[in-house]
Order: sequence, then C-alpha cells, then structure tokens
Amino acid sequence: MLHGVGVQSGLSFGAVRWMTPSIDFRELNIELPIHQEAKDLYDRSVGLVIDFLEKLSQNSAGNSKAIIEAQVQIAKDPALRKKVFASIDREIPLLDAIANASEDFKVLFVRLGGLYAERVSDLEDITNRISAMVVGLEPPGLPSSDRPYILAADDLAPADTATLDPKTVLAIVIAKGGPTCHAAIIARSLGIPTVVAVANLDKVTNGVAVLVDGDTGSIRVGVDEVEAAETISKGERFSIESIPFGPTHFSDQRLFQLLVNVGTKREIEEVISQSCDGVGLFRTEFLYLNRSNEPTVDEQKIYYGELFEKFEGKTVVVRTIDAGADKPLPFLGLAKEVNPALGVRGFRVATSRRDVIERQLEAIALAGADSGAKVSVMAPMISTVSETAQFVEMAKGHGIARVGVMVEVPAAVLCAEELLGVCDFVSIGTNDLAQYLFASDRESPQLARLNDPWNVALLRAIKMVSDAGLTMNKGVSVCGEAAADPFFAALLIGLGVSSISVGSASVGKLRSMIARCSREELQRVASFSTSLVNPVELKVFVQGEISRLLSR
Amino acid sequence: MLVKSVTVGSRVGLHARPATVLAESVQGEGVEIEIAKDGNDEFVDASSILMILTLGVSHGDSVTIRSEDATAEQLEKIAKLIESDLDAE
Repeated sequence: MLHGVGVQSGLSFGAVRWMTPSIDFRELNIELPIHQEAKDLYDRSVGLVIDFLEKLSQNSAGNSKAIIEAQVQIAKDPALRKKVFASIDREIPLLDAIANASEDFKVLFVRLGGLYAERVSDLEDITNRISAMVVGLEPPGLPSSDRPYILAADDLAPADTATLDPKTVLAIVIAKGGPTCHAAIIARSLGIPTVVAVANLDKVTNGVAVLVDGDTGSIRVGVDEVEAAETISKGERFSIESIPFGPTHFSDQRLFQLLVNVGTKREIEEVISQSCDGVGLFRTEFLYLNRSNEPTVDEQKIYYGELFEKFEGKTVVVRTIDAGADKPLPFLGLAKEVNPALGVRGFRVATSRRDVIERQLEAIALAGADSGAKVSVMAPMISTVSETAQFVEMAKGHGIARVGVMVEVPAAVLCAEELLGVCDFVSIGTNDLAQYLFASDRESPQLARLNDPWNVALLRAIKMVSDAGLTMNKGVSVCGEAAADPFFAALLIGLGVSSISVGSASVGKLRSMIARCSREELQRVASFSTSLVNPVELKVFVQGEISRLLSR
Repeated sequence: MLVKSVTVGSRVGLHARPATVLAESVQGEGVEIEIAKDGNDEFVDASSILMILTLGVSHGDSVTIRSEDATAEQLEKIAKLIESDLDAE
C-alpha cells in the first residue's frame, strides 16, 4: 500500500500506465541514415504520426478534435518538411535537422506572442513525436492507449493535459506536487480521482493493477477485481449525484450563489452560463504567460469580451494579473528573487509597473461596457488596507462599479473588517492562504500534509473573514480549489461564506449537496468542527454529518 | 500570375482552426498559392499551416494571395474562404 495526499475524491481500479518522460533522442546515439534514405525515413515517420493522430481524432469531438486536426496539419506541413530536407542536403543528421526546423518556427511564434506562443507546445509535441518514430520509440507525453488506465507521472505540466481524456484516464497518481499543484487543479476541473505526493510511486510499474482512493490518498497494489468492485460500491455511500444546471438553493428554497472559476482559453470556450450564477474567479494570467510582450488593450478587450458576452446579466469577477516573482513575465522587467512566493507578485507588481495593471483595468472596463455582464474586479496578494484603497481607486477610476480583493495573506485575514470598509467584497484563495498561514511551500511534496485544507487553523481564518463580512454586510466568497469537495464546501457555507466559486466540473455536485441541506444545519455542523484539531478526525466528522443529512 | 486582395473574416484571425482549414483547402486544390499580410511583402506558402501562423494575421487585416498555376476559380474559392468566419463552423 502506498500513501499520498488525496486531492480529488473518488475510487478507481485499473492498470497503471506511466507517462513517457521527455528525453532528447539525439543523446541515444542511434545510427541513422543520411541523404535520400533520411528523407524517406522522415516521410515514413510523419506518416506514422498522422496515422496515430487520425485514430485519436476519430474518438474525439468538438474542441479536442479541432486541436488534433491542427496537429495533423503541423505534422504534414510542407514548409517544415522543406526545412528538414534542406538540412539533410547539408549533411546535418536527421534528428538535428528536425530539432533545428522546429526551433526556427518556435522563435517566430514566440516573437508574435499571445495565442501564437501557445502553438509552440503543439509544434514541440509534433516534432517530438516525429523524432520518436524516427528512432522507433514511444513518444514523450501521455501514453497512447485505447483501454482505460490509471495515469502515473512524476508531475504533470499544463501542456500534458490538452489531450487528457477523462473517459480513458480512470485516476491520476503523481509522485511530486501537493494539493494545489497544477496536476491537482487540472484533475479537479476534470473530476478525476487524484492522489499527489505519493512516496515510492516509482516502485509501481506499467501494467500493475491498483486501487486508487482519492479521499484517503491510499493506493493499494495487489487487489483483485472482485475486492476492488466491492470497495468501490461501498465507497459510493459518499458519492453525490450531480444537478448540472439551474439556480442553487437550500432545502428551504433560499438561494445560494454558486459561481465557476475560468482561466484557460479552453475553459472560456467551454463554460456554460446556465450551469452557475456567474464567474467568481476569471484568472487572466493565461493571456500573459508564454509571451515576450504585453498584450495590447485591444487584444485584452477581445479576450475578456469573449467570456463577458456569455454571461449577460450575470456576475463576472475578473482577477487582475496574478504573476510576478512566482510566475515571471519577461515584459514586467522584474528582478529574480530568492523567495518568489514572498516576493513581488500579484498586486505588488503595481509598485513598479502600475501602468500594466492600469492598462488591464482599462481593457476590462471597455470589454465590460460592451457586454451586459456585471463585471467586477479583484486584486490578488493584498496585505494591507492601503493596498486595497489604492486598488479600489484605480479600478473605480476606470469606471468599474464593484471592486474587491483576494484574502490570501494572513495579514488580510486579521484586518478583514477594515479591508471590507474600503472595498465591496473579498474572495478567499484557500491555496495561497494555506501556504502563507502554515508557512509551507504549496509545491513541496514533503509539506503536502501541512497544506491540507481540513486544518482547523485555516477554518478559523475563514471564519474570521466570514464574520467580518456579516458585520460589514458585504460579500465573502471562496474561490480556492478546496471548495470543489462538496463536504468541504458544506463546511465553508456553515462557516458563513456568502458564495463559492469552483471549477465547472464540480458545480453539479455542490448544487445537489446544497439542495438537500439548510444553511442552519450546515452552521450546526461547522460550529462543532472548529474544535477538532486533527484534520483527519475533522474530515471524517464532517463527511459523516453531511452524509447523514444527504441520506434523509 | 493571378493576384487577389481579401479581408480576413475569422474572428480569431488566421489562427488555430481557420489556419488549419486554409492550409487543408490549398493542399486540396493541388496548386501553389502564396499569401502575404498587406504592408509586409513577404509571401509564404499558403498550404503550410506553420507559415500561415508566422504571418500573425488578425481579424480585419487585409492579405494578398497570388498564384502562378491556379485558375481564377481556384483563387476565388480560396479568397472566399479567407473572407468567411472559419471559426463559426
């Protein structure tokens, strides 16, 4: 039995398939043909990649089908082929010829910035696949399997997940990471049972059947199918059906505001406005990452406008740029720091590059004016009342009506009432708040247990902010990923938060949970829970109490 | 040589799906067609998605297409394609 930290609940049984690590095929020193034979080998390899992609595209639809079709075009691209062949004519070894051609286009795409820079990973993926075929090896990335499997990896990068299919991936087990790492956030958005920070995961080889429990974080090896089936059916007592659309109300019909988190281009395209009361967290970093220049006001306006248009008459809370020392952006021109998590990030960027945030607010205001959506903004990484006041002044200066701040820094918790005195609402980011409250790096596998949201210190902090909201009669939202767990969300509502924002894969379950409880019942559960100092005990208590309410 | 100037109709510009459709269609015609963004005289192979992407063409930009061996109908067909919103399909 292996142990990690469960970050997305659910039980799955299946065979493990490891993600193929990325390697430089040139280092393998494989003897490859030259001249015409090299060109023939290139064409054959491209053919194999296209066959593979076309098979993949038959099993996909919509957006992922379009992505694969674009990849087919990149694989058969005549200009790429011409560059490779020109290098072969100059007697450059085949793998170098492919790498150089890929590099030439990458440089051009990065220079164009924005959407084009995203194509770099597509191009890299394709040229890696071609090179893998040239040497006759499995290409790096997700395993190609037509049977469902349990994905094992050291870590997952955002790019790995573009082709991750929730129908074939039964569960995800990760050796590194913590509850708030990329892989965990992605797994929650897809609703796949996931365990991270698994010690000794490398002992489990390809093909071994395991039973993954995303609630307890255990991975059992050597379980037979019958036993697995029994365990899974028993585990279903904690499962909640989903109500995907419509308003969210308690059992006494009083309404609760349930919002979704939106970040990537794909999420902007796929989010359905009827599934929620609006967007509680629109992460804007994705427009800024992977590019060397700042997006223009016009470009930003179009990007934000696409989401706003879908939410006519509904709330959209836009979080201003949450990057800096932790996620460096070349055009900000910030110095490298020893402690990026404690450095110039989030709203702190305004100390040296206020102009960047001003331009972003201008674009948000312009896009909002055209759309009919109720657009609010909030700033990340706020520590003081004066930072809050500065941000409110900037945003209102652009004509944005509702302005709030994120509560992620313990100092902001302690001054929540005063913050709410100068702004319209606050939103708690549980991931960063846990990281700063427990002084433990959220990316560190060894510290994953400290970042467990079921820790009473975090709950008391959330309670303080909720109480401040009640006193000031202003909204307190939670937009951290921890709220995607319906049992944790129940606790949050019981503690007094006025709205919750989660990935769109989780809203259905949350709506269903809320529909079967009253706010008073959840308050009662929460009032007992803040005295339980052991996170496991607390989790078991809340799961038991809420399950009892749900099974009435 | 046939030359034609057109305005890009796709909302995302010649990117992602529109670039894919354009390259596919030019390949389907089996003739050599080149494309350039106006104000930039560098013509590139319109059957290459990568070359189309390198132009960085946005919605509303005008582009010029030209060909030595295409018929007027073939060039017109590609022009119509560029003018339509290829993302709307």
